[in-house]
Amino acid sequence: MANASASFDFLFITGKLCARFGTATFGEIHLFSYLGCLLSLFRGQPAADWGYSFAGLDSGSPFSAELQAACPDLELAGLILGEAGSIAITPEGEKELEFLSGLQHFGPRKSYLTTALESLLSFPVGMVRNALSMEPGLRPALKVGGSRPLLEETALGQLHEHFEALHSALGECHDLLVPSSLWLTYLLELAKEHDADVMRHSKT
Amino acid sequence: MSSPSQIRQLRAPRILKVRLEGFSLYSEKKDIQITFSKGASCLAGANGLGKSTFLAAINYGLTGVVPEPGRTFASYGSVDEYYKHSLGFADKFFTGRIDDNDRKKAQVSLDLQVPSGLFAITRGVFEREQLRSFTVQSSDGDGTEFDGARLTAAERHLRYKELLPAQIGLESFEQFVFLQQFVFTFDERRQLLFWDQDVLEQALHLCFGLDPKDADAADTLRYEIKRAGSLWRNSQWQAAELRKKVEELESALKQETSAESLDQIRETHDKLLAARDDAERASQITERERSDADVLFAKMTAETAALSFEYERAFNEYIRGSPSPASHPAVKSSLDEKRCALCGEIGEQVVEAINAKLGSQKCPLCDSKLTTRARTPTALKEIDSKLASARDDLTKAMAKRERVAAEALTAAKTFADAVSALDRFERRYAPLLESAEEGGESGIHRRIAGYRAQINSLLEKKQKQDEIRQRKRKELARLQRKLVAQYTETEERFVPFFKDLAYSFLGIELNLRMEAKAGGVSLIFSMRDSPRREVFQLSESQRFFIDIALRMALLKFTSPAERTACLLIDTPEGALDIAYEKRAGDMFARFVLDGFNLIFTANINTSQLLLALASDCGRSHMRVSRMTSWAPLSEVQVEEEKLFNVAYEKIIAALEKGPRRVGSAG
Amino acid sequence: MRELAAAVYSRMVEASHGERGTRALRALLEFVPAFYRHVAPETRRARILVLKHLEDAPLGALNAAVQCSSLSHMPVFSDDEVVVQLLQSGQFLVSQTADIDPVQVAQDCVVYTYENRTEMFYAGSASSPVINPAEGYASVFAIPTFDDLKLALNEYRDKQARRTSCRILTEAWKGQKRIIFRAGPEPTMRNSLAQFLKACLRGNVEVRPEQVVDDSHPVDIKVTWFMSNRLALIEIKWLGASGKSTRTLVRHGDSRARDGAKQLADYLDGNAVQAPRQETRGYLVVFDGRRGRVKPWTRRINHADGFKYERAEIVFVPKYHETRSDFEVPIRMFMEPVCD
Repeated sequence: MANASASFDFLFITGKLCARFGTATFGEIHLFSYLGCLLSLFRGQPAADWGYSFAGLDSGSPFSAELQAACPDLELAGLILGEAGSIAITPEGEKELEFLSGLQHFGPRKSYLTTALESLLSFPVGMVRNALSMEPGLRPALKVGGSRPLLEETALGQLHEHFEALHSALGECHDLLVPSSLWLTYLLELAKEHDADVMRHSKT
Repeated sequence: MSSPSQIRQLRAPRILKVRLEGFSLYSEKKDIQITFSKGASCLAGANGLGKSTFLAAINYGLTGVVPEPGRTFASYGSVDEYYKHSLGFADKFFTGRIDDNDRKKAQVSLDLQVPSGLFAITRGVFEREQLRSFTVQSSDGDGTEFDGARLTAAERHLRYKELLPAQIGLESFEQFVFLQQFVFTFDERRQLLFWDQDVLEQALHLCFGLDPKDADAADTLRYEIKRAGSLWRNSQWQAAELRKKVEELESALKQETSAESLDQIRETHDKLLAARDDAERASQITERERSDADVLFAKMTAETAALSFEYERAFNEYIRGSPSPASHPAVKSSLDEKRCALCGEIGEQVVEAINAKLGSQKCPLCDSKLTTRARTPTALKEIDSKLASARDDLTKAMAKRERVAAEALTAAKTFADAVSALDRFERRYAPLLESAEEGGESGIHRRIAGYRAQINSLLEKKQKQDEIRQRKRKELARLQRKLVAQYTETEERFVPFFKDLAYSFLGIELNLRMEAKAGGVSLIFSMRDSPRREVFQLSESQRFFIDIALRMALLKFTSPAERTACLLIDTPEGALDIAYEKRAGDMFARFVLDGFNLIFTANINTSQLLLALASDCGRSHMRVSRMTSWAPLSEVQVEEEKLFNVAYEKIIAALEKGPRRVGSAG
Repeated sequence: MRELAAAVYSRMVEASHGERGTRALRALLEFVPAFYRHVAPETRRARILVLKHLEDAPLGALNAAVQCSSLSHMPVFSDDEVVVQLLQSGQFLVSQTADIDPVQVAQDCVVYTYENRTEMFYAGSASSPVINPAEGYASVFAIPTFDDLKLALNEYRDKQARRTSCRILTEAWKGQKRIIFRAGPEPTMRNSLAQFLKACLRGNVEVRPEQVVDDSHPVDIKVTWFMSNRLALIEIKWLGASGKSTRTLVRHGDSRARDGAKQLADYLDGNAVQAPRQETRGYLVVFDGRRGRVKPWTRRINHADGFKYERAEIVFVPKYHETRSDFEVPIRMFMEPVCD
């Protein structure tokens, strides 16, 4: 039995990405759902409330088994079409998405996912991915290798340090887009430093 | 010269045979039987083989009591008390020495020779005041005079308690127990007669006093005197406490006693009481609210969880509700690969067939009409709004719970503060408050008067106890004087017994006399005319043997012509140099050759004492049993066994050679 | 983080105009990238200004503007400044004659300007620059996104390598004329290409530049696709002259490219043995910095020498890209020098 939240998220993100790019890819779906989850944490929601868990792969990408498991059911229901790693939403799927978006249960997560996807207004998707690989949970997976569960004690602690810094730098913020943009910008700086380090080490 | 009739006669029983069964301590030999011949019976063994236990078992069989080590006789107060309070210790003593599965089996059997015949008893080790069997055979040999088989175990024991003291010539069984444990036995407790005032006096009453009732009376008097003393002290202390209170009140009186301030105090007190009561009520209320809020929260949590689960189900049903066959992986792959996923057929016809079916709105698998089953969102919508409102309620319940918990905490603290404020106030102004309750200053005076009356009555009580004490002391003194008189009459017979024995051991002449002092009656011995009251002037081992000499003398003195008395000795080891050891052996031999019986334990290979005794007694008056086969030997003991054997052979040799003339008792 | 906060334009906009401001901002952010797909910003010398009025009132200065309903129906632009006002309806006004002061109009609008690779947002009395983290693109909003690796590589060749637009890549050159490479330019090239791919390649891709550079590891960049067994191996070779000192030069001609092709082919074979289930494709990327008549001390170059190899396609023998299905057509990226 697929997780309702995971099914909704999958469909929602696919819909938005298709509107922008024509198709969606698995990597992007996992990426934006993870970013959405992180934004919910920023707003003070407990990690367990998101509804499903994530793991960090050693490529520095986030992955959720439950999210991935939603795909076959949605496909079978005719809401999405999957082909060679590309996902597209069907007209049926768009209709259902509209209905589901109206359900109260999904209200909060809709806003987090929307803001997550709005990062594409400011950055190309590759940059969003690049930035997120510097997130305290994903970064060790990238640096050290080996997949690991995300949103664990230590990573949450460091994440909250980031959030504290965001809060103190920004003060009161109504629009989640603002801290989201700042954070991604900050993470991109970290990514730049990281790459510079790698460059230095490879030169010697 | 005193006539024999004026001398106390104690016809102590002679132990003929002992049988121990189920004693796990002696694991190699669970059924031990020893027959004691006239004279000395030595149980030879090594340390740790259970020599002391053996003697304790014999005494237990006789008395039903194992003495508690470390407790003085004085702590019991009287012979009766000693018996009563020692009954419980036997269990503890034997528990360590007998396995759990042998508990029922374990028993001690004794054959005793008494004036009128033979007593045979069997006592279960863990059965208090009971005998498993008790038979009496008369010495006339005309069969069993008494067979307790028909009686209950407790009845048998009662009978035994009646018959035995009568045979011996004692007033009560408790007296017998006392004598057996404190006089006739010298064991590892190292209880010394000479140096324990209370035991000695009791023993003297029993041994020298002509009337055993006197001993009993003296015993009771001593007990009552002590009791009166402690009651006296009690009253004393209570009176002192009350005096303190009176002083307190009087000083409180000296403080602010104006009517005003008393009123103020009363008012403040009332306020504090009211505050406390209010706070208590408030705390109770908030506590109830808190518990209610908790319940509500739990309920909402459960509801929300249930609804969430339902939601998942509804969602899945909704999504899966109308599958589109065209999207099914089997259909898709069949179309893509032009190969039927079910039967494997390859070719364009596969695609055509599938598309034809789909085109005519038929299921490719079962041919059913494909109704475009629209999804029914109603169920999902319903649950969605239910869940949303449940979540809402849950959030509210959580907020309420937190709020109420904080309130309860505050109320509890307020209550605690009110209680302690009241407490402080009351403690400070207690006497004044009490007086305020009773109507002011006059109340205080009344209380003072009350206390004074109590003090007076206590002083009266004290006086009374003192009188009792004096009276009883006088009586006791009378009995003691009687005892001294009786002693004096007989001491010319008694003292030589002691002197002989002591001389053979110490090589020094010891004189003995009885003294009656405020503390009681005691025996003092003196060496070369200077009294040796102080214990430290003799070495410890010398003290032991002097004490043994005293017992031997007492036994000899109180025995009738048929010398049946048995002295049980757990031979003290060590610290005697060889010369004294030999002399100790000679002393023992004297006793034995005089016709008395000695059951004693010894360490085989340390003892010159044994050798000397063996040489003096010879086979006719001494037997040696080895305990070394009763229990498994430790490594050390095994190594020592060779030495045992050497020593044992020596002793046997000495027995063969003996007896050597030591000199007869007078 | 505080310094960065100052440069986050969304914050500035929210602070100045509140919710209306962020809504207007979103509209601008939707519009500008789409606009740049039609009008490349790096081709513009004059300013581009796009604004949205909070009340949706058309500005007076734009009353002579053209109203457009879609980006495909825009007029052709001259070199002058372009001003665009977005309307709620989705249509927009375009003018090349309006004279607008962004600071002034920002009182009632959210304004975006682009001028000579500098971008700003204005709202209320505040303004905020736009940080462009991507080297080599005129505007962060003009960064393309590719699904296909080959297209991305072509874009890199045309937009980044050709004129060394990428700032990282400039480090590969010794001197500003781009005649001779620095000693050991490979890591720089690799880094530049990797950064580009990371930013532009879509969704599934993880780009990891290889740390070890020696002949046993010829592969410079690995590209994997999420949840798939596809793998792209990119090998980089450079042609031209590189030198540390003024005395000697290391020169590589087209034979180097052929060596590279062989190495890549061998590696593909090895990879196929180790991981037979993977769908692997090899890409040979050749940074072509060959010039005519270059000496260690050459500081300047004329057009003839500079562009001598502009069209000098490399002949590959064997033609792996024709014989192997896992070998892509090699991409030669000619890098232009600065000539006299």
